[in-house]
Amino acid sequence: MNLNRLVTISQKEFSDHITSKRFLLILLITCLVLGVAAANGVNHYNDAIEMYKNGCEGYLFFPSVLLAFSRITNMIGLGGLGAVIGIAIGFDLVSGEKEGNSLKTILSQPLYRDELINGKAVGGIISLALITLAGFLTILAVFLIIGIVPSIDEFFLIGIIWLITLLYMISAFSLALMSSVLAKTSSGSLVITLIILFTMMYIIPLAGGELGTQILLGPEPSDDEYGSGFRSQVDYFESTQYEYDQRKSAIYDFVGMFSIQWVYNDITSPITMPSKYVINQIEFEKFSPDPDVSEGIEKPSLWGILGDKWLNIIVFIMWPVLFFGIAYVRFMRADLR
Amino acid sequence: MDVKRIALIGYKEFQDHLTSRRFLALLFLMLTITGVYVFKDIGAYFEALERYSNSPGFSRFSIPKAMNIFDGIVSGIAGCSVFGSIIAIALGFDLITKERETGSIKALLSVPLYRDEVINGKALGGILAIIFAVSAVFLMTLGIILIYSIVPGLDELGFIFALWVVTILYLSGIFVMSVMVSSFSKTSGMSFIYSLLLLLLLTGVIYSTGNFAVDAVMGPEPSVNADNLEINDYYEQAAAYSHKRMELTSLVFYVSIDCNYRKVAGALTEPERYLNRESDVRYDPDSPDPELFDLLGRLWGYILFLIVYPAIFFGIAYVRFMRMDLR
Repeated sequence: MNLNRLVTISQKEFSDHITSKRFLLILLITCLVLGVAAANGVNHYNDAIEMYKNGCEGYLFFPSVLLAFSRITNMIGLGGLGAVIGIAIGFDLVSGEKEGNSLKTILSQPLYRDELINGKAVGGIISLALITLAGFLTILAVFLIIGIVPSIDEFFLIGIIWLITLLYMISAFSLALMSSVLAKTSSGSLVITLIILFTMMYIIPLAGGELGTQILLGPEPSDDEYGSGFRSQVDYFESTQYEYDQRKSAIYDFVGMFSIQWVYNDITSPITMPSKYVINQIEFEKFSPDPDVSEGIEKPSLWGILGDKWLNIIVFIMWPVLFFGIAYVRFMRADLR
Repeated sequence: MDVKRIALIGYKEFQDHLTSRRFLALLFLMLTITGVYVFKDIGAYFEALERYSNSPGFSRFSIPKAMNIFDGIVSGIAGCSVFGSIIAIALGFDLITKERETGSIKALLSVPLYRDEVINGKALGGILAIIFAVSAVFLMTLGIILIYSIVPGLDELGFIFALWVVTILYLSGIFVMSVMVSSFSKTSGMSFIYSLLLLLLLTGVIYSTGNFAVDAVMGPEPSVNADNLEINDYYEQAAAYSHKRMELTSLVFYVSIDCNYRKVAGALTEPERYLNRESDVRYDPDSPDPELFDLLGRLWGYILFLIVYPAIFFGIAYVRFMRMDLR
């Protein structure tokens, strides 16, 4: 592999992307959607400040601008915008060349196959970075228009969210790239992408959790047998119930890792909503009867959050690497007669 | 335009859809997802039943009904993202672009038939396929609840039937939207991406813009401290404020296609809760069960919008296809 040739191909791919009408349209829609979500998020933020002032439960810390980002990441992650953009950039990279018969022409040039696929990936990732950057600048512009100026710390955290969002879109992009290598036509590539996405996002997390609980743990412990009210029995029941719930949530966490959407949400939500994160961590029963608990708690630092979520972050990086690895191997061995 | 020829084209299109692997794969996905949600709802149903039988006097709502379980279908189809209703987009996105890409549209139009028959027939075939898919989902759900020996009564079947019709309307709206996008795009792939993005605009963006606009129009809530009002004045103002706000918000719900569907479907699957929340009628356990037609009367605005959306989209697709330059 020669770095010079890789750079040339990425450059060409990138210029292909940004001069296409598709890119412009995606850019426009991204900015529009994120701008609207930002305006909506600012509303949410103002409400939260109001509630904090009135001493509402559920807001331990003074809400920061990042709260507005919870709406934005919802739009990108759960709403499906990020996945759609990643797929739109990647789904016809290789299958389009196959359909247009230009793949043979390219490979008759003095270059290796791995340079081609790496160059395509790099070009696509740079365009995705451009799109997300434009989107986040729109968000900042909306903030400034409404009159909210983030501090340096908040800027840093916004940068982290941007990075995570980019990584999320890259996962979808490399999934689309993989299926475009696997499929013969672009429509076929779309169908493969969708089926994989669907299975990973919805079916495994939803059905897997239920099935796993049923098979591994059996039915929930019932309290009928312990109805006589002896203290020891009640304690025993409570401890079995607690253990059961712990195991159940472990199973759900495990199957949730298959869904890049859930992982994305899981990583960003402690950054955007620290109060909720802390309350979940110190368990609600402990918290609610004694409001003074909240006095001693400090706002979680970024490193604390990253340390807590390291497994999710590894999984988050693993998916795009896995998809790209499959795409790479398949493309290297593809039969192109 | 000849109805016979439309029926013929519609039938052929329907056959094409049903025998395609894409439709079968997506139907399978749809069945799986709704099945998972339905099983969850069945669990909730039995819990509610137990709670009701343990404390009949204090229960806020009456006995759980069979149609509550059909809420699972709604969560599966119009859940929180654009991918739930993907089957409708997948049926429509390449109806016109594919014929153009492969050049078969010229061969098709050289047969003695008019252009409008082609587009009408295509729409008809797709909607038939949607009816087939939705019926499959509903029959599966009905089968599951019968296995659990929950037997819906006759009036409950009425609600379920209404939900079936509304679901078909919603998915047809999205299908016709993607046919419209297909008549504008050059390649099938782009048509698909544009359909997804347009759906995102119609659902998420309209909803959040609308909410933002409502907030902007309404201004701050009246508060006691700010204006030194008498307490009675304050209550009056606050009531007027919330009433006006609810009206404006319902306008947003009308326009945003998935909120609209969720609203209607929510009312149909849990009528008591809907009536309790939307109207001034306090629920009391002795009052008779809500009637289907009374409920539909309250919901007519939403249902009208569910019909208007596909009509507008189809109008645009029709005009565009009729004037298309096919050299």
